[in-house]
Amino acid sequence: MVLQLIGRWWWVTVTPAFIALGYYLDKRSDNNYSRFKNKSVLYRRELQPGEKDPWT
Amino acid sequence: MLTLTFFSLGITITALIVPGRWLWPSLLVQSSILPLITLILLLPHHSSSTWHTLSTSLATDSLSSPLIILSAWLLPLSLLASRQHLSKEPLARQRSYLTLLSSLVLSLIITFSALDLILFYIAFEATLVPTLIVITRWGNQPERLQAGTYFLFYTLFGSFPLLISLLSLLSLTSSASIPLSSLNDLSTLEFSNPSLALWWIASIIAFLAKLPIYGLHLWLPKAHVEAPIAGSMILAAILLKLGGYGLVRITALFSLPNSFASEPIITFCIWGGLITSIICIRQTDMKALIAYSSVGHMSLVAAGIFSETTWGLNGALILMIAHGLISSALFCLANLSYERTFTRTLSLNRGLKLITPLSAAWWLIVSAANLALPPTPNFSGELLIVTNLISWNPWTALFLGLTALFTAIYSLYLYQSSQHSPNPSSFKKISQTLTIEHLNIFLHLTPLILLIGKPELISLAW
Repeated sequence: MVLQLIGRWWWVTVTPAFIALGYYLDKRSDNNYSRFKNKSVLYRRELQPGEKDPWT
Repeated sequence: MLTLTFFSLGITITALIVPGRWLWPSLLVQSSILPLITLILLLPHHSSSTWHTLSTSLATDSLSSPLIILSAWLLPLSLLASRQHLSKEPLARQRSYLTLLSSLVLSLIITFSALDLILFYIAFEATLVPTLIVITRWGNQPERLQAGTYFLFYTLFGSFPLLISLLSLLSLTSSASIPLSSLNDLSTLEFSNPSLALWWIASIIAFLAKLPIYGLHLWLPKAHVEAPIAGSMILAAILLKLGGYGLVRITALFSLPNSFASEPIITFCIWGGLITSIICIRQTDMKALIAYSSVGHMSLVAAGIFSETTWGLNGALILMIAHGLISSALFCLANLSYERTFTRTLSLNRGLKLITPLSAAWWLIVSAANLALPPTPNFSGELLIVTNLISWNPWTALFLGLTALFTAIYSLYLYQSSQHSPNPSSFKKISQTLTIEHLNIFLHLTPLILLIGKPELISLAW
């Protein structure tokens, strides 16, 4: 029954899967941009006592 | 941005694999969700003066966001408009039509959000392929092949110099980045003025042909007249705006040539706007009239962009968005008449008010917006550009005033000749209009009316 449903309706999942993949890649890209933020001259700031570096 | 890009890619792939009976419902539902997601993602950043929704090579700013939203908004509307037209075609042809339209929107989203001029160029050229296939395969008459040839050659003629220009830029400055373009001013390089001017012309000619300005416009009426309804809608609403968008991006690189060459080109654009508005009055074909009207409006957009002032650029953006919605609505209305009378000739489309009264109301509203009646955004855009141009040179008031007068004449002529007068004897049996057709026009006008109350959504934040 479940396999029949999947066999008949699998195409419904294509666009949501693509949206999820795009969202994941966007988030990964955001993390890449912010990971080294404290190393840039423009955005560098003194860390609070006990605060970890953003890339750790 | 990758969320939106992958969403539209998903719609394109779904159009290829979905079972036949679910083709239209699934595409309509998915393409209706696309503008909602686009609004959710892009609208919160509309007042941001920097780039946002950053991905590796895609991002948006206050110029590209409204154009991306417009592209996403028009996909479901163009699908709705074509459904009747395609219903008698075999499934495979329907499937390829929908795949082409969704791939066109995908390449448009990439073009408007590209952070790199080379990626922008590739996506800009990629829009040519689906549009060309849609015109030459789904057009109604044999002349569609000639229209396709014109469209192809005008676009390619402009694109090769642009490619050479962008590759030279890349080799000389080691960067084709759009956000860094204001730092990459080519005037600082050691070039003589004539060679810099030649480079400038090579860079803008593709966009001038795409807009198109008067003189490079011959492909447009042919393409519009021969294209199917969705082709005309997307062509008028978004593809012409690619030219305006490219001009804004590329002129940031050339401050020196702009300063000495903008005067003749603005004068030519104003002249072109006047001539095309006069040409509109002598058209007998409904679609050709709307197409020439687009050329006239785009001439104003080009003049606003070349003025390189805040008012000019804001006016150009507002007019691009407003004209995108209105020209698309006009093509929808022309198609509504064509599907009943089977002719686009104005003199054979008389007296439709008596048969389809609600569509007469739509014709009135859309024609009024096309002639830039206050308080529509068309009026705001034209007012900003016109004020800016008059302050540049008071003599332009004469030509711009005449252009406004002729625009009013042909817009009212379009309304009056299609809705008033007695019906011609050739009208035997005309079917009633469908709710879905009225919904389509309503969805064109809704954003336009909402933008009257919140025009800052389509203004530049830089």
